[in-house]
Amino acid sequence: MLYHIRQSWMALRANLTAGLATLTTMTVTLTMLALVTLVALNLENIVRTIERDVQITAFLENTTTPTQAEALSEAVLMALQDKTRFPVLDSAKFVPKEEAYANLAIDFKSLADATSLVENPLSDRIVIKLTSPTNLVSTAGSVKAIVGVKDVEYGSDFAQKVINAISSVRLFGIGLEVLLLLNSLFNILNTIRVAMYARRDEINVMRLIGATRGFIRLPYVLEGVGLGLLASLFTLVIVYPAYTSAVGQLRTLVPFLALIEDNLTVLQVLALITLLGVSLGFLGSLWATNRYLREVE
Amino acid sequence: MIQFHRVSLEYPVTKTLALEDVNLHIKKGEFVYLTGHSGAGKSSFLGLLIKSLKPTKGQVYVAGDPLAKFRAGRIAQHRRRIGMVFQDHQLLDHLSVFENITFALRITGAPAREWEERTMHVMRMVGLEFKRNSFPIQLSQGERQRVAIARAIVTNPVLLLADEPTGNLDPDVSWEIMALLDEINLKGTTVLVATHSREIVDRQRRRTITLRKGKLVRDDPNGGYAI
Repeated sequence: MLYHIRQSWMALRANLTAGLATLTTMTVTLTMLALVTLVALNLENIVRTIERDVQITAFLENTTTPTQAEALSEAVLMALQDKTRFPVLDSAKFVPKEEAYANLAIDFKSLADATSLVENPLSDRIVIKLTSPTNLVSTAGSVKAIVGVKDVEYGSDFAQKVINAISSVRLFGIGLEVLLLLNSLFNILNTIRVAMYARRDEINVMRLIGATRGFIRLPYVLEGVGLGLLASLFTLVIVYPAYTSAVGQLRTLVPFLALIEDNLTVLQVLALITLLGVSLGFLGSLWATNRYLREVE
Repeated sequence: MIQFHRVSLEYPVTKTLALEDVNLHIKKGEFVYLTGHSGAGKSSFLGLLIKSLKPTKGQVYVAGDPLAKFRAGRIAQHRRRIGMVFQDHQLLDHLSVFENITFALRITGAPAREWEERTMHVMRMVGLEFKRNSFPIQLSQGERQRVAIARAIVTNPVLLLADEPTGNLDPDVSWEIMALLDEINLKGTTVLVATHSREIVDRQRRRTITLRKGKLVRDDPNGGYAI
């Protein structure tokens, strides 16, 4: 095996530019693939969170005193108890506008400083949780029809937009990736063919002496696998810090986004990318050596 | 050792008939010259023996095995039984003399512990034991051919094929190479030498097979060059 490893290193050194070109293309491809996969996973996570937390916020008409606000909320809460009109209602909770503002200030720290400068622009509200996201639109319509409710808000538009965005990203990503993977495969194919062509005399002698196809092929397959592994390692070195840094910055800018932050998921994606890189190197070199040996026999 | 049964070979692209209805039998331990002009079919004959070519018609047998039945893995095994010497040596320039010879042992899967002893044995046999670390480029034509012979015999082949082994050599060196092939034959290896050196064939007086335009036109047990 040591002999074959030495031979593959020699082949790589003899065709350094072709090897570097393949390595660069593979690294770019695998990096793109890792990033597209991580973005898709994050978008899916966001949709799942949205669906899990499906709720309707009913904004109440403006009142002048807390007593009036409480009376109005009691009336609306009473109306919501009607099981025939609201069969999927799980819970309903009155949130005064002061509490709503305080909750918002937890996510957006700068709001806390603005309290003394401007009047609270928020309305009193009732937060309604549903047992299922089905009939969300009709339920929201029924809530809006209750006297004392001036408007409702629910996440359906946002969820739909995110789902559409995921589909687009997936389709674009898959298309791009298929092209890039094919490009990498052909690059490996060419690199290995050039390497074999450069050593055709040696291969010819090997064939005449009685070397098996496997023996002739092994150094070149090792070269392909080595390039795939190296490209995967470069991808890991690029993607892992880039992703953790991007997530950290997004966390500050958009704190409510449900991003994937656990290292295990990120490392699982990168492990899959490594496996793909090695497989790509293996298959490309196997294909190239098979073709070359078929041609000369 | 070698049997050709009604063997014809036509190259598919050029439609050239390289061999036509050749019947032949070479026994184990024989020393045979294969003669003929350029293009007579000598290289095609050797190509069929190592199965780098397939006959269009007929059957080729080596050591009793019909080569037509061999697939890729078996072809490699078959070639390990044969030593080949070429006019242009086909040595690997980046390997030393010792490494060139050991290369054959490595490829044929001989145990690594035997490499040193077996390589040194054949190097002594061809008189190159003091050139162990030299590279082919540092050797004379005759010395390179000796290395090629050493590489061909280090695996103990049952059959040694030599394609114009003295083609690039001056007469004195040619005789040394032929003496070496004789010595190998005396140890029991069947030797088949393709050549158009009249001088060598006439002097050695070994069985001589002559090809002309792909046809076997002469098979003389007493030898002598006659075309």
